[in-house]
Parts: sequence; structure tokens; C-alpha cells
Amino acid sequence: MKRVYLHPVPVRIWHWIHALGILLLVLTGFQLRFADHLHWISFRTAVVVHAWIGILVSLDFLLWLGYYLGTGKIRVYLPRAYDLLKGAWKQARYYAYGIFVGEENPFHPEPENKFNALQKMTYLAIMGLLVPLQVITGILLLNTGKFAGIIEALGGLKVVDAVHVVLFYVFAAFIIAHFYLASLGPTFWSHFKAMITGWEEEPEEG
Amino acid sequence: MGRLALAGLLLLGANALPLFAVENDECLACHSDPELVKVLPNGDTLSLFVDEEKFAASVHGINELSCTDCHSDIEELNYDAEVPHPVPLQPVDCSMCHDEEAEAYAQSIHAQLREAGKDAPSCAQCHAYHYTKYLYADNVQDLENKFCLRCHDPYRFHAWLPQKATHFRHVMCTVCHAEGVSPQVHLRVFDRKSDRFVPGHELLQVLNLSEDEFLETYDANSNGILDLTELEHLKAALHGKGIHAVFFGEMGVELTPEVHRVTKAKAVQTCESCHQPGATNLQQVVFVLSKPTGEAEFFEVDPKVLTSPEVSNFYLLNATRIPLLDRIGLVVLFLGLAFALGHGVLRFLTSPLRRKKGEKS
Ligand code: HEC
Ligand code: HEC
Ligand code: HEC
Ligand code: HEC
Ligand code: HEC
Ligand code: HEC
Ligand code: HEM
Repeated sequence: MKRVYLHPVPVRIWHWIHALGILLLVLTGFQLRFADHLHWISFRTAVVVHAWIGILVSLDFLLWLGYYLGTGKIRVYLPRAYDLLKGAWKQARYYAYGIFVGEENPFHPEPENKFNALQKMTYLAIMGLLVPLQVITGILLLNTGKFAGIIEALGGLKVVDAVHVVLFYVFAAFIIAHFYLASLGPTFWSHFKAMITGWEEEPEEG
Repeated sequence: MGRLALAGLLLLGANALPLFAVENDECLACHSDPELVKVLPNGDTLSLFVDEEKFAASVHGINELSCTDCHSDIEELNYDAEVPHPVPLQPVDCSMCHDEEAEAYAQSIHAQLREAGKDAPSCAQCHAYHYTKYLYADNVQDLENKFCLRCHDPYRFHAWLPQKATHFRHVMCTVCHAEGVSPQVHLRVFDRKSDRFVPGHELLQVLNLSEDEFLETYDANSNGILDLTELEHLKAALHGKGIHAVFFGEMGVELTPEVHRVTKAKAVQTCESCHQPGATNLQQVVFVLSKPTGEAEFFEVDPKVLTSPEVSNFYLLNATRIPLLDRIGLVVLFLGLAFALGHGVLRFLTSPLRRKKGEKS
């Protein structure tokens, strides 16, 4: 067994607040948008809970940003020239074919390079673009009265809300795919365990 | 209000007492003096000035009420006396003409508290009695500023209501606070370029239309209801004339006497009465063309426009969601699910391949 320390404490704290937060935001989001069909909790409770968790996840995003920028480790999210074509191709081929026939995963995580090419691109798009967009539209929607000027300048409440809603569906879909992909480690739970203990275990080769 | 009944009553009144009527000019001979004051028992002074022009422009001036229609305990002026009429005068009884309003008011919390000795308002404390205008043209913010907000700070209450600023900006207090009103969604033209509401008469001028021509022109299918395409045409026409129109939506009430039946105990507190597709409060949608007098023309609008992106700034969570977004969302969700399930099933089906390979090595 080879052990690699992949996820330092701040990353693990960030991640699980984020994961639980997003999950609850998606669930309360469904309640808010379909209060006429769903009756899990009252509309008012959903509004209040969604708002507080939204604030928590926004602060959590700042934790992530601060940590990765502060330590310079943000590099693990930035695709290198190799990743853009060759790495991405190899990884995509692995997921589409190799994994079925028992080929070895072409990527081996190390602390300085812990994401494969596809992970880098996805995570960068999510953490660099989609989450900030969701946080910003969310903050505007927290007080549409006070932010009326900004909202109007962005094209109106329905426009800001449309961005928030489409991203909400993207996150809902992402959670499913992300959970599935995270289970593709050496064993079903190994990546999940790694995100809890920090240590990724890989079977020794050869 | 029974407008016809009122007009009839006025005519009757005018016919019955034509000879004895005191002309407004007679009163104004003294009361147009800005210096004229009365000293109250507590030492304060009360101005007795009445602004003739503002009175003439008021709803009562337009309807040619005389001073003594309201100050009805003055039957004649006796110029021999120091003050040519009795003082103090009886408080004016608005219910002489506005009986339905008075009836609704009598059932309000204001009337109850007033009876209990509190200084809760009666008609004249809320309305600028001499200078009141028609109130149809006012938007929610104007109405709130003219009335409830003068005396109440709503932020001190409503702890249960999230986003108070949003609600107070878009929902007239009486939507929740007056029993028996008919809430209406009002759509008005807001010009993004000049950053203001465009009054109805200005719109007609810009479009070069008379009031009667407006509906004829924009109700293309002549069903008396403005629908989405028709509003889009209106918007395009305004755009052509340099007005960057957005349809500003807000929740007001039909101005009926019931607005006076202000209640606390029975105020609306259930979110679902508004935040639900097809909620009763969203059934009536009208386009407002205001006039300088404070009157307005209301044109019925198809409630479906509320769920279109066109009414871009009026969005009630859940209630006026855009269906297209959820169709896109469903596709996105489906893709996520199909990927995970499809890949998982393939992995399961191909597991014999991998086992074989494992045995070989
Ligand atoms: C000759 C001048 C004069 C004329 C004409 C006159 N008023 Fe007055 N009015 C006064 C004065 C002076 C007072 C203040 C009396 C006082 O100090 O109590 C007064 C007081 C009032 C008040 C306040 C009464 C109160 O209860 O405190 C009203 C209302 C009023 N007038 C209405 C009228 C109306 C309506 C007319 C016409 C029908 C009219 N007045 C004509 C001089 C006039
Ligand atoms: C729509 C009814 C109405 C009409 C019309 C009307 N008044 Fe009044 N007026 C009132 C009310 C209400 C008060 C407040 C005192 C009260 O409740 O009686 C008042 C008060 C006054 C006062 C006392 C000072 C003040 O402003 O409170 C004067 C003076 C007065 N009116 C003069 C006139 C004159 C002069 C005219 C005609 C130009 C006139 N009013 C027309 C309803 C009316
Ligand atoms: C002598 C009859 C009379 C009296 C008394 C009277 N009004 Fe009026 N009021 C009218 C008439 C007539 C109109 C115009 C109605 C219309 O055009 O629909 C009117 C309209 C109004 C409106 C405008 C309503 C709208 O449709 O926008 C208000 C507000 C109003 N009156 C308030 C008062 C108040 C407050 C008093 C008491 C201080 C009062 N009136 C006393 C006759 C009266
Ligand atoms: C001229 C001032 C004034 C205006 C305008 C006014 N109110 Fe009031 N209102 C009062 C006063 C004074 C009380 C009595 C407060 C007390 O003594 O408890 C009161 C009481 C109330 C109460 C009951 C509060 C309680 O303690 O039980 C409600 C609800 C209310 N008003 C709502 C409204 C609404 C809604 C409007 C606008 C349509 C409005 N008011 C306009 C002065 C006003
Ligand atoms: C969404 C519905 C809603 C709207 C809009 C609304 N209210 Fe209320 N209001 C209520 C309810 C329900 C209560 C009673 C429960 C409470 O006290 O919060 C209430 C209570 C009040 C009270 C009495 C508070 C007390 O305990 O004495 C006042 C005064 C009041 N509202 C004024 C206003 C004013 C002024 C506005 C407009 C700016 C307004 N409200 C808008 C629903 C509403
Ligand atoms: C009387 C109708 C009414 C009631 C009752 C009402 N709301 Fe609203 N709500 C509105 C309107 C109108 C808006 C503003 C829409 C806009 O800004 O375009 C709004 C806006 C909101 C917003 C801001 C986001 C958005 O949809 O624009 C939230 C959150 C909200 N309401 C929650 C609630 C909750 C929770 C309750 C119950 C405690 C409630 N509302 C009760 C009418 C109502
Ligand atoms: C929108 C919501 C989510 C986003 C944006 C997100 C994002 C991320 C990111 C960026 C990483 C890399 C972590 C690092 O920086 O080191 C990661 C890893 C991980 N996440 Fe999430 N996550 C979300 C929700 C979830 C949820 C709901 C779960 C649990 C069901 C979960 C489980 C995991 C696991 C096990 C890992 C480690 C495995 C790996 O490297 O892929 N995530 N996630």
C-alpha cells in the first residue's frame, strides 16, 4: 500500500461544509421552486434555511479561495499544456474504455498534482466560475429590495434568478456525477475516506 | 364607491339649496390669507390658510364641491360678527358622501382603537382633505408614503416576513392589511434610460395616440385583454421612440372602499396566498395608464405574462417561475443521472472482462 497525503485539513473542512451545504441548498432549492408540489418543509422555513446555508457556503467559498491562493496551491487546479489535449484524451479514453477492460488509471495523484486533466478542468470551471456566479446571484437574491439597482442593471430580477436556477440544476447534476466518480477509486469508499483522513491509499504496483 | 349614487346625491344637493349656497370665494376672501391662524388652547397655532389653486386641482375642486358641502354647519355668513360663522365648527363628516368608505372604516382597527380612546386616525388624518387627488395613478411606493408610512414604521413589526424591503416595495400594505380587497398586479412602464416611471399621458403623447385609440392599437386580437405579444409590440414601439421600457410589476389593490377596513388580527400571513402559481392574489393583472389628475385607465392583462421573461423585474419565488428554465434543468439533471447510471451499468456488465484480466496477471 502506498499512502499519499492529498487533502490538508483546511481543504477537508472546506470540502465537507461545502458538500453538505450544497446538498441542502439543492434540496431547499427544490422546495422553494416547487412549493406547490413539494411539502417537505414550509415555504417560509425553506426561504430562511436556504438563505442561511447560502451565506455559510459563501463564507466557505472564501475559505477555499483564501487557502488555495494563500498557499499558492491553486496550481493543482490549473491545467498544464500537457493536460489540455494529451492528458484529457488519455483520461477520457480511460473512463470511456480502459476502466471497463481493467486498464490501469493513467493518472496517479500527488500532493502537487492531485487532479487528473479532466478533474482540473471541471473543478476549475466549478470553483472558478460557477460557484462564484451562484454566490453572487444568491447574495443579490437575498435582498432584492436593497439590491434593486444592481439587479435592474443586470437585466432584472428574472435574469438574475434564471442564472441562479440554471446553475442550481447544474449543481444538482454535478452532485450525482461527482458522487459516482468519487466511488471509482481502488475501492468504492477509498476516495471518500481520503477526503476524511487526508490520506489517499493506492495499491502498490507490480 | 358608487360613483353614480354619489354624483346623483351631489346634483340633488346642488338643486335643493341653490339660493343659500355660500360661494367658495366668500370663504377664501379670508382663508386665502396665509397669515390667518387660530391659537389653540395649548398655545399652538393652527393655520387657517387654504390654498385656492391646490384646492381647485384637488378631486373635490375638480368635482366643484363648495366649502360648505363639507363644512356643512355653516349655512350663511354673518359679516357683523367678528368671525362670520360659528366656531368651533363641527368636524367634517365625510360619510355624507362616502358612505361605503365610512362603513368599511368603521370596521377597521383604526376605528376600534379610536373608539377606545387612542388617537388612531379617522378620514381627515389620513387624507389631505383639502388637496386630495384621485389615488388611482399612484404606485405602491407613492401610496405607502402618502398613507401608512407617515405614521407607521413597518420594519418594527413583521419579524416573520423575510426580505421586508422587497415586500414593502412591491406589496401595498393593504394587500395584507385590509379585509375584502381585490389585490391586483399593476404593470407600469419604467424607462431605463431616464430611470423613472413614465406617466400614461406622456406615453400616449409619445405614441401619438388618444386614450381611446390605445386599446384599439395594441389589442391586436380585439379581445379586450393585452397578452404577451401585444405587450411586446408596445415595448417595441416605445423603444422606437427612445423609451427603454420595462414593465414594472407590483402588487396593489383595486381601489374600493374596502381598503379602509384595516386589520391587524386578520392580516395575511401565509406566504402561499402570493408565492404559489395561480395564487388568488395573482389572478388580476392590469396595465396602468395614469393621468395628471391622479385618475388612471386600467387595461386587463393576461396573467400568463407574469411567467414570461418579458416582465423582467417581477418575480415571486415559486409563483411566477419561467417554465422553460425547468425544462432545461430537467435535461441537465437527466444527463447527470444518465452518465452515472449508464457508466455504472457498463462497469457492472464488463466486470467479467476485468476479472479475466486479473486472473491472467
Ligand atoms: C371674514 C373672514 C372669514 C370668512 C369670510 C370665513 N371665515 Fe372661517 N374663520 C375665520 C376666522 C377669523 C377663523 C378663526 C376663528 C377662531 O380663532 O377660532 C375662522 C375659522 C374657520 C374654521 C376653523 C373652525 C374651527 O373649528 O376651528 C373653518 C373650518 C372655517 N373657518 C371655514 C370657513 C368656511 C367654509 C367659510 C366659507 C363658508 C369661512 N370659513 C369663511 C374667518 C373667516
Ligand atoms: C372634502 C371636504 C372639505 C372641503 C370641500 C373643504 N374642507 Fe375645509 N376642512 C375639511 C376637513 C376634514 C378639515 C379638518 C377639520 C375637521 O375634521 O373638520 C377642514 C378644515 C378646514 C379649516 C381649518 C384649518 C385646517 O386646515 O385644518 C379651514 C380654515 C377650512 N377647512 C376651510 C375650508 C375652505 C375655505 C374650503 C373651501 C375652499 C374648505 N375648507 C373646503 C374638509 C373640507
Ligand atoms: C359633499 C360630498 C363629499 C364630501 C362631504 C366629501 N367628498 Fe370626497 N369626493 C366627493 C366626490 C364627488 C368625489 C369624486 C368621486 C369620483 O369622481 O369618483 C370625491 C372623491 C374623493 C376622493 C378620491 C377617491 C378616488 O376615487 O381616488 C377622496 C380620497 C376623497 N373624496 C376623500 C374625502 C374625505 C377625506 C372627505 C372628508 C374629509 C371627503 N372626501 C368628503 C365628494 C365628497
Ligand atoms: C395618520 C396616521 C396613520 C395612518 C396614515 C395610518 N395609521 Fe395605522 N394607526 C395609527 C395609530 C395612531 C394607531 C394606533 C396605535 C396604537 O395606539 O396602538 C394605528 C393602528 C394601526 C394598526 C393596529 C396596531 C395595533 O397596535 O393594534 C394597524 C395594523 C395599522 N394601524 C395599519 C395601518 C395601515 C395598513 C395603514 C395604511 C393603510 C395605516 N395604518 C395608516 C395611525 C395611522
Ligand atoms: C405580507 C403581508 C403584510 C404586508 C405587505 C404588510 N403587513 Fe403589516 N402585518 C401583517 C401581519 C400578518 C401582521 C400581524 C402579525 C404581526 O404583528 O407581525 C402585521 C402587523 C402590522 C402592524 C401591527 C403591529 C403591532 O403588533 O402592533 C402594523 C402597524 C403594520 N403591520 C403595518 C404595516 C404597514 C404600514 C405596511 C406597509 C408598509 C404593512 N404592515 C405591510 C402582514 C403584512
Ligand atoms: C401579499 C403577497 C405576498 C405574501 C403574503 C408574501 N410575499 Fe414574498 N413577495 C411578494 C412580492 C410581490 C415579492 C416581490 C417580487 C419582486 O421583487 O418582483 C416578494 C418577494 C419575496 C422574496 C424575494 C425573492 C423573490 O421572489 O423575488 C422572498 C424570499 C419572499 N417573498 C418570501 C416570502 C415568504 C417566506 C412569505 C411568507 C412568510 C412571503 N414572501 C409572503 C409577495 C408576497
Ligand atoms: C456543488 C457541490 C460540490 C462541489 C462544487 C464540489 C467540489 C469538489 C472539489 C473542487 C473537489 C476537489 C477537492 C480539493 O480541492 O482537494 C471535490 C472532491 C470531492 N468531493 Fe466534492 N463537491 C461538491 C459536492 C460534493 C458532495 C455532495 C459530495 C458527497 C456526496 C462530495 C464528495 C467529494 C469527494 C469524496 C471528493 C474527493 C474525491 C475526488 O478527488 O474527486 N462532493 N469536490
